[in-house]
Amino acid sequence: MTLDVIVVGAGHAGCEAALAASRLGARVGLVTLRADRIAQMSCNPAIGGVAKGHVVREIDALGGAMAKVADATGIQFRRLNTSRGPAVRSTRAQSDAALYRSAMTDVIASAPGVTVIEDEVVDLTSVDGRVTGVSLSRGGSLACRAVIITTGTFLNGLCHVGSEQFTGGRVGDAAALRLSSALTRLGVALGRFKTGTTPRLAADSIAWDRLEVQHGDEPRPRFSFDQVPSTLPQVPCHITHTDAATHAVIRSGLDRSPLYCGTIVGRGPRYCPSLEDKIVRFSDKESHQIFLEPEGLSSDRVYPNGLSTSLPKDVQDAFLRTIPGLEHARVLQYGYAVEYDYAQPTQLDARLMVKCALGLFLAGQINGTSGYEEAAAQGLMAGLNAVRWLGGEAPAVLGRDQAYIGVLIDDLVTKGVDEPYRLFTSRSEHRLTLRETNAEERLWQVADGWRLLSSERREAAARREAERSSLRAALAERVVDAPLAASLALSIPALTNIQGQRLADVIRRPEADPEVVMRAAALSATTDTVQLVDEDIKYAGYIAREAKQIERMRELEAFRLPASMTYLNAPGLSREVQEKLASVQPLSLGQASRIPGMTPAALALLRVHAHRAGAES
Amino acid sequence: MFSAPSLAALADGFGRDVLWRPAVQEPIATMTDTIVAPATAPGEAAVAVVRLSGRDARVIAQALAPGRRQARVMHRATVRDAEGARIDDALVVEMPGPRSYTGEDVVELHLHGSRFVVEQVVARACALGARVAEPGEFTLRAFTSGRMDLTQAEAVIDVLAATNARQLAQANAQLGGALSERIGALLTRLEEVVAEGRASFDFPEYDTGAGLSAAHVEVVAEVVAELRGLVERARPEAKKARTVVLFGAPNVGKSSLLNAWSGTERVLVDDAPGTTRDPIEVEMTEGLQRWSVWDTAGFRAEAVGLEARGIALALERARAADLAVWVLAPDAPVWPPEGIEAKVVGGKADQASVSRRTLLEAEAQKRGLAWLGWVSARTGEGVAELRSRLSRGVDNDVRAGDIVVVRERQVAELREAVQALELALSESRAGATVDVVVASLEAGAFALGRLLGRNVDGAVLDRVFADFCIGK
Repeated sequence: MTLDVIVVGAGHAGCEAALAASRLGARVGLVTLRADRIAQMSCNPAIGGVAKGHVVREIDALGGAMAKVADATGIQFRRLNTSRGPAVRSTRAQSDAALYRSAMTDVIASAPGVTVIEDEVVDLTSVDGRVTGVSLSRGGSLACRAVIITTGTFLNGLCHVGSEQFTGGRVGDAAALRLSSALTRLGVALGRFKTGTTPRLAADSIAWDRLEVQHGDEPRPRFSFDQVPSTLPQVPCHITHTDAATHAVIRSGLDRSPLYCGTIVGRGPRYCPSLEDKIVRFSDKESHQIFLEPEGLSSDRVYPNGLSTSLPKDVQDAFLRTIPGLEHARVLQYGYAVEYDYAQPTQLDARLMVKCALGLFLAGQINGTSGYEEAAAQGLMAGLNAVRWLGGEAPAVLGRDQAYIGVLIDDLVTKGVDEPYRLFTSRSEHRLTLRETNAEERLWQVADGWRLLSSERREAAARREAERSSLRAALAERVVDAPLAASLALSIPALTNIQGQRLADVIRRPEADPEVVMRAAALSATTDTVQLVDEDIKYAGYIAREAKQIERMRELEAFRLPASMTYLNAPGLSREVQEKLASVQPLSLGQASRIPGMTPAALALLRVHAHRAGAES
Repeated sequence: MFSAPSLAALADGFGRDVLWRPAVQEPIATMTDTIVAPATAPGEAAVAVVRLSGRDARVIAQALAPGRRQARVMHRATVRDAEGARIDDALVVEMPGPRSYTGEDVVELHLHGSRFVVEQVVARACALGARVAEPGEFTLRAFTSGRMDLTQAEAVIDVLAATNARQLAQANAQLGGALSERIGALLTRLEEVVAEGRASFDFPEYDTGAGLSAAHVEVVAEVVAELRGLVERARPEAKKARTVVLFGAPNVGKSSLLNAWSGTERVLVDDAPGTTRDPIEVEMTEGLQRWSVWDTAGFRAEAVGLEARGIALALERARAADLAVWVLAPDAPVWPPEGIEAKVVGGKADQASVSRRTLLEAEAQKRGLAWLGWVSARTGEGVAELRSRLSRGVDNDVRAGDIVVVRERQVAELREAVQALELALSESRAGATVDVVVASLEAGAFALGRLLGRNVDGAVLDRVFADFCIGK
């Protein structure tokens, strides 16, 4: 078997990597320790959330699978931040974790050119700094031209429950213990991060009727721009909380916490603290909310969101008994922390290829990120770029003003990470432009240029584009006549003095519900289109303000820095800046400007150096 | 002490240090925007040149000094401020790129050699969309557009490297501990508000609030008020120098006094009376205060023609000046005309006996004229005392403990911050959603961050994690 690309790991990053490479026509080997654990949700059974929902929609616009699989297997959909502005509105879905896994497994199985190989990659082979294949634990070796590593928490994974330790990428699964040294040998420096998860509880042991209920939204918000049917019944989540008794139990167990007695050395994410962390750091807070999320329609497992912990089992049992509704909860799997190897992502270029090892790409949690969505996005971009690299094509890089995925990868490869990285909308300086609603409008033509879209998807995207254009044109041209003014005033009394105005000006007014206006004007379009066009009109001023900033940055982004540039001993630049430039190897002046510590003068010098390098080469 | 600015001080004091920018990671000047800077050292010559370069150079020049102009031909035009008031008469020449010094569209405005005029024009150009050029930026642009060879570019590297190395030290030294402390404290308060705003939409599931609280809106209002105070007390570009007019009878030593005062031979001095016909300006700085000192034609009843016009002009200047100083010769004292508020200085002190001095001082008192002291341009007697006496008077309008921002760049960032934060407040009042309000708050915080060389994003993220218990 001759393969173009081998993807190591079939989690959320690995799946999108294999699928993107497949879409570009590559022959792909997807190596996983267990073929029955493809796209496993190791932590909470949910997709999306603030900024992450944006990423899922971008993945969809780029032809990825996550959005569609989440739509098809969602059991509760919600739109977050509806009152906080269009820029930060995000979709979140509870998933049936088992159905998600099998749906994604089906997508992989039907992807042309993708072969799933159940084995462990124990070594990487290379010739002259260029990867040539992988060695497997059972099946000898496989030759290929590019390797994408998406090992998640499995690289030297070490799990902790109290003082108990065991190797494993997650509970019940072995760790990848030999791959780390292969990476080190190729020159990849590894560090150590930590993350954690909650205990899983038996559904029939929870006193549901005493808990607050949280329902999903109807109609269901969705991820994919294609209307994937959502056929599963919708179920509620429930809310409970910790109290002083819970906190007392946890404090009494801190001396046996691997986090607090120094056993765990890896740095964990501050935005996702363990319960013991919350209680130590926010000791004046008397209560913490807990969301009880079902893992699936037919699953008896419940994920208590907010109870991430690595305290000993007896302490976990004890504190659960203090929580309303969980007094008799049976633990099916105890919470634990996992430490794993990650590679500082400044070792990668913007394609996610390791700079010191040609053909070796890293994506997902191995790059120091957390989250299924962040992983999937990197996987997609790595799969795409691996095939483009093999074909001698230019790097496929999304700008920070184009996509959250652009922000994510640029942050990783330019600034590096010092804790597990997740996206927030506040990581984007172009927040008002990068909205969930316009993800397809922003990206579909780029995706098509990269050959990521199927012909059906291209046609659908073009159709939606045409719908947007014609709606915009209709709103901009149509003048409100007397009958329309009268009918609008009836449905929205605040809409006065609108006769003679354009419909777009009417919609600009905050009180104008676009659906109502459209109905009165006998215009029709899909909800997605109406929502997007409405936002664009109502927020035109703010978006224009941001467009100016984007314009200012464009010139710097367009100024490419030759790959042959040497930075060490560049006159005028401080040693520190020289070293940072040499390590990051920025592709553009724009990227260089974001390296921590860069000054405007250093940037100007860099411009002169680039010109000289260009002139001399 | 007063001193006439040396060339080096000028290069540093106006040409360069106003261009200082602290280390920032966020917005960086790009090479397509339009830059402006004085191309000549101010105060040194009759003519000062302000140069614009970049995409909008000609548009900005048209707004500054309207008129139909042929490329590469000098045209006369009136430079006006935002209200349409005349700033100066100028000769304007437009040089469309690529046949220009920088290779971009370049416009030069040849102005009268007054620092005040130059700074007003630069400030006005900035208000119209230009920004003050970074050190060496005109040359850098010339190089990058291929108008200059590598050898010449080495010179640019030297300039930039020097700036780069000095930048951090300058940031601290120029900003001054007290100022940076004050702005730092304001930024910290602002970061707390930005953190709250961001947390409200990035962690909606936790009890972070739906938007900005009334208390935080109040904090922003207080920060704006303080920043506005700093901007108002700032004394950069557009802050007019205090004018002092020296006037008096001919040949009492006005010009000599001015030369002694400024420490240079700026004014032609001759024993023949009437040497000075047109008012002559010399600029100097003392501490934070800039002075514009005018030497004027001597008062003679019998003057006719040009000389009479010069005297009329001198009177006009004296009336408009912040301070009119009548210079009096001890041997033939002539007193200032009625109806003009003036303080008196005895000139040629080396020729005045003690009794003569007492007599004249008493006479001044009788006439209700304040006596500033005796000075001698020849021996230097009294010059320093006069300077310090004048500057003491001036410093009274800056209260003790007030912090004064003096750098043009700093004031520009402060103004940007004030503008953005005021926008945030008005958006918040108008009920805009929190995503929009936070974007404006961030613009304000980033401007202050650039001023201080502080990474606002990192600080805000730390705050979010420290202040809010978030995460699953």
